[in-house]
Amino acid sequence: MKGRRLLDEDFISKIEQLELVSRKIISGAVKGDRLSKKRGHSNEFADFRPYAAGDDLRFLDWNVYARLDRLFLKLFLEEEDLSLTILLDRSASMDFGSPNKLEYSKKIAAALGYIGLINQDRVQLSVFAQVSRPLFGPARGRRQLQRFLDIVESIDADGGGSTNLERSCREVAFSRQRGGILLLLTDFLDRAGFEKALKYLLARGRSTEIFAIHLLSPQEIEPNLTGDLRLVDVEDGHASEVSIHSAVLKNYRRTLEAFCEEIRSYSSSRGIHYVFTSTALPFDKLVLEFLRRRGLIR
Amino acid sequence: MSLIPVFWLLVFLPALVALYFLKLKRKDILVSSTLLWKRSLEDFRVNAPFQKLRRNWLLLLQLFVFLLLIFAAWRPRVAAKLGAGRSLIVLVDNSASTSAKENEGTRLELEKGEALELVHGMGDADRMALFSFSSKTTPREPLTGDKARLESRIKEIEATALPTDLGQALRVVGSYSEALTSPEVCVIGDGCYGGLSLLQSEVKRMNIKFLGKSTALDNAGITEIDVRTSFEAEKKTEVFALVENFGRSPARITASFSLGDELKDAREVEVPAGGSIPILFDASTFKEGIAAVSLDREDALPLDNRAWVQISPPKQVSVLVVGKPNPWIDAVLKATSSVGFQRLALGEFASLLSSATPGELEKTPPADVLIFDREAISSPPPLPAIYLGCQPPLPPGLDPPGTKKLPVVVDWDRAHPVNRFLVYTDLYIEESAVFRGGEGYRSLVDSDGGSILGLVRYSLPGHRAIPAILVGFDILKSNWPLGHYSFPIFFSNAIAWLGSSLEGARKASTRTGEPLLYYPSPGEGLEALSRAMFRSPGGHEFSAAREASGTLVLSSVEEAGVYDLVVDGKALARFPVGLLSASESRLTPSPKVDFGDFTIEVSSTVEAGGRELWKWFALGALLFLFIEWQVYNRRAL
Repeated sequence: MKGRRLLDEDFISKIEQLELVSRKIISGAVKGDRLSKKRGHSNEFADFRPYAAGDDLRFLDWNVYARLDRLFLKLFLEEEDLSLTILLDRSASMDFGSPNKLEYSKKIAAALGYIGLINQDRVQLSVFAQVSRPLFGPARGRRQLQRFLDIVESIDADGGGSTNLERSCREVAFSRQRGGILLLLTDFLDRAGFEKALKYLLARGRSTEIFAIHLLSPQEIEPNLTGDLRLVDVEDGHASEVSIHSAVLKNYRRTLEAFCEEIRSYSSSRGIHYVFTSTALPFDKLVLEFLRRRGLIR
Repeated sequence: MSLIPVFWLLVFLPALVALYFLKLKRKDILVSSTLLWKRSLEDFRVNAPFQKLRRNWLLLLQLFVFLLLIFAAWRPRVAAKLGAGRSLIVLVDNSASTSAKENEGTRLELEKGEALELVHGMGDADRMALFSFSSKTTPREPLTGDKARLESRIKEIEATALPTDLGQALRVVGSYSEALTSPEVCVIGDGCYGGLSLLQSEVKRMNIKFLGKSTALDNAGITEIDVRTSFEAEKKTEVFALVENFGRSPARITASFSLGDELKDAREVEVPAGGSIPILFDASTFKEGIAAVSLDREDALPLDNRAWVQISPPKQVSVLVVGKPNPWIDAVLKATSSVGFQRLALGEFASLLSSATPGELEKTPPADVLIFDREAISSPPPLPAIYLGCQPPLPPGLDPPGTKKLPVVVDWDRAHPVNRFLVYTDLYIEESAVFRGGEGYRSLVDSDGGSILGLVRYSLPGHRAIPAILVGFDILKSNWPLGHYSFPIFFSNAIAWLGSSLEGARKASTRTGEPLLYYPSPGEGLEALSRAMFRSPGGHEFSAAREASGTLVLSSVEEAGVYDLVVDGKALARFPVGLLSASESRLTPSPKVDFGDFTIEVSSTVEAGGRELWKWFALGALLFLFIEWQVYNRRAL
């Protein structure tokens, strides 16, 4: 099976029992397997409210009417599906490092999409570089699993230009899809910055729980470079002539730390879950331990 | 050691660093983004602008090479410990121009500093002889390896007011160095030497170097001073001073004229750059004494800003012309206001001479000056004379003259008072006697065949040496009287000079370096004169040398000012002495010393004794360049 190359059988067996979790009020389009905080039509009773004209008479509590001579409507917790939107950066900068950042993020997308689909959650996948492009969904159910994995498998890097995180996030934010979990997989290496992009995602409303997974390769975290070099940007071809020695490397690490801290601080102050990971971290450990600990899955 | 090589090399330092960056081959590395690199480098640059250069071995090597080249250009030396020692003859210029003030002191102080550097650079086996020179060359220390002694002698050298005569110094050193093996001559001076074409052969034999750190300085000074009777008005005495500006811009100068201690006149003149202005002061009311002209300005050389001149009462000179009638001579003598003349035939003069006793002739001479025109008597009379186209027997030691048809004037003695203001070019002479020269003969005009006009002195028993001017040609067989302007001036000069020569009258002013002469009058007691002393302006006293004729001589005056001849504490006569030298006042050193066929460059850096190390530094630079090349190629792979 083509798509199964991203996820091995052992790993799949570990995630079969997991489900996506959202702490926010979820408003699915169709009823799903989970209870919504929204009152609905499940068998689980939630509350009463006085009858108003136009209410479904089937939900009137006749016993209460008999005792109190007043019409009350029985309210039930509605079972709703969870929406998972995966926004995956496939810019040229993601096709870098060993382990490769794009491959790593494809595995994360595949794993979380898998969990979503087997739990009847609505899963949607978009990729972006300069612009965003929806690749999958919204769809749910195990029957979509194979197609989803194939699509994820087929994602390759966009060598045509630099990342435009802001534009891509704006397009996603203005789509009709609202609420649920939004998973952003990117390296945040965009000269225009990340603030506006995250601002657009926040515009989706409080019902959307955003997870920003920041991926960098070990070569970016601890560059093994020295001497007089001409660094060429893989996205826009921009070159920087540098003479690298220990002091420069030390300063680079400081800059990187400051960069990550900037994103983390911005995210946490706005309720975005920021997860930084090196692609050197084993993928299963990230999903089964880190994301679990961050409450994305259980 | 000069800082000039360092200065130039430092100028090229930025170019070297730029070349380093141009030469740098950078390896292209693909990165996911240069975003973080740029941020980190910007931050890095702000925090440590020079950090980029740290640990760039390639650049460090190049800088090391650069430093080695600086040292090589500096020409460092170490004292030679082994091997045969060198014989170094050092000549330090202490002429008047070396008292000029440079930024770091006087020129002489700079020279002494260079000489001391030479001493410090001497190896154990090296020896040095020290001379100072101006118009006279003074040995300061014979060949020695005693550095302390040499240093002490160098420090003792003081500036003089004398002009420079490098030629004489080189001749002295040439003869001194003959006994030495491969001597090196080092002349340390201010580079104001003038032409030395007559020294070609001596200099070619020497291993000679010229050192000098002097720079061109602006200066103005008095280069001539004299007293003369005005041409316009008889019996009007004027003091003439020539003020020259050797600077690069015009100078406004105030010249003051003093008689004794009293300021009599002052003039403000603007002297163009490189030009001169004559100034005349009226001294008619001043009968006798010393007058001074001074320039009220502060410049590099104060010594030439003041000059003194002797004013003597005007004297009428009587001339007796002996010989055939000659209207040209008569016309010239009539036109000369200070001359009274009479004419006698040769026979009349001979009988006059034979009838008088030598004592009578001395006490009441028939004239101050005699002119023999084409006829001379058989023996010279005891009076100064001009012989025109004839001559008495020449003094012993001089060969009889030859003859030359159509002689062409090639040179004349411009320094002699008889030739003052004269130019003898375009003189046409049909035939002239040509004097061979020899001891006691001084040529005043030279032709292509030899001297045609000169000066001899006859030593007669019981008399002082009697001067005589010999003109070798008949003036009527030349174009001299026919409109040649030198004709009347020659007679005026010659009569004035001969007329004063017996009177004890002195030159109006003496230049430093020249002798002072005092001719005692017959009445002066010779015994008293034996105790005569010359006292310099600085108070130094020198015994006066007395010649057989009774003339008192101070062979060379070294100070500018007024000298006194003192006998028993009383001043007998006063002698004004000044620098009066355009070559000393011109403070522009020449970068080369001209010897006619060739020149020798004046170096500003001391090449001290000992072993030079620059080759080792240059070799080291080459080696490091090779290493740098290897490193460069390895990194470029």
